[in-house]
Amino acid sequence: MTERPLDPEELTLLREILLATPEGIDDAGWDEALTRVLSPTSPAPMHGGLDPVDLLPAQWPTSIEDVEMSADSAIDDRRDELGDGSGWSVDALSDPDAFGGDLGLGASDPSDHDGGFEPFDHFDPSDDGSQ
Amino acid sequence: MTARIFTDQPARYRHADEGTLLAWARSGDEVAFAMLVDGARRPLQAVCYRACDDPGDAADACQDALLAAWQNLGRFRGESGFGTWLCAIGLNASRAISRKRRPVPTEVEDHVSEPEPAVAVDLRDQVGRALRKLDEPLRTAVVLREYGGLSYDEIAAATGAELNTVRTRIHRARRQLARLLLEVEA
Repeated sequence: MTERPLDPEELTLLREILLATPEGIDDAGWDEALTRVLSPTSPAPMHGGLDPVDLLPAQWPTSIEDVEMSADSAIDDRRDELGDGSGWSVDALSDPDAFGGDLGLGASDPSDHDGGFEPFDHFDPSDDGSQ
Repeated sequence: MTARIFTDQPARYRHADEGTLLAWARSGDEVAFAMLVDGARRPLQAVCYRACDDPGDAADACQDALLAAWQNLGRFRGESGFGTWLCAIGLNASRAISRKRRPVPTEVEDHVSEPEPAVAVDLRDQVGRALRKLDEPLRTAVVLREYGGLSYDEIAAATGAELNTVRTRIHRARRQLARLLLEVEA
């Protein structure tokens, strides 16, 4: 079953609640952490056990179009695996986790989906995803 | 370095834009780096505190993120704002610490197993509990969006998920949070 998106008022209220209680360390704690990070003689240990370079984002998109093309490619690959018309169902297309969660479902022609699927069911009208 | 190095700095620091501070920081200027990260402090801390279940872990994740950023400033290519880049590092640092300190959670958590407290708790705890009830991919996406301020495509890049998957995850996360915090009906 497709869930309706939050209306703008609900989304605004939810955001207010989420942001009402920011947590963080105080100025002294922040400066202490910075001092350890910048220390040339005894640099701070990495608590997560990884090399600092391993924490960097793997890649950034050069444009939104690059990401969308990647999503379309994933769908095409999946279609190739499934063959024409087999295995596709409204339920599966409504559930992005049905194929592992990273297929970017909904990016292609909704007419391929035998009706019932709403490609913008996850659209929040007051949030266009931009900064 | 003394405490509160961000205050009482020469005007050249106070009036420098992000690109200028970045250039100075890359040349080893610690004050410029401190000024740079101070501008991103609030979203970085929010991401780490909401991605980790433990305040101590969150503080450690923040420090790991700062260290990774300081040591790898040359790898920042300006494809996003510096704060966005730092938040993505903070997310990875939070994940690394969580993986190290506790077993990897199952992909699908039991949404009804955690008993609700009988007495009212403060809003911070309510938000924390609501976020912890989300599956990890949903929580990550909504934390980066709402606390880190990342755009959908930046979240896709930071998490390795497809853009439409990010959209769906944020939609689902918001719906679940609304149910938990606003008592919005399905």
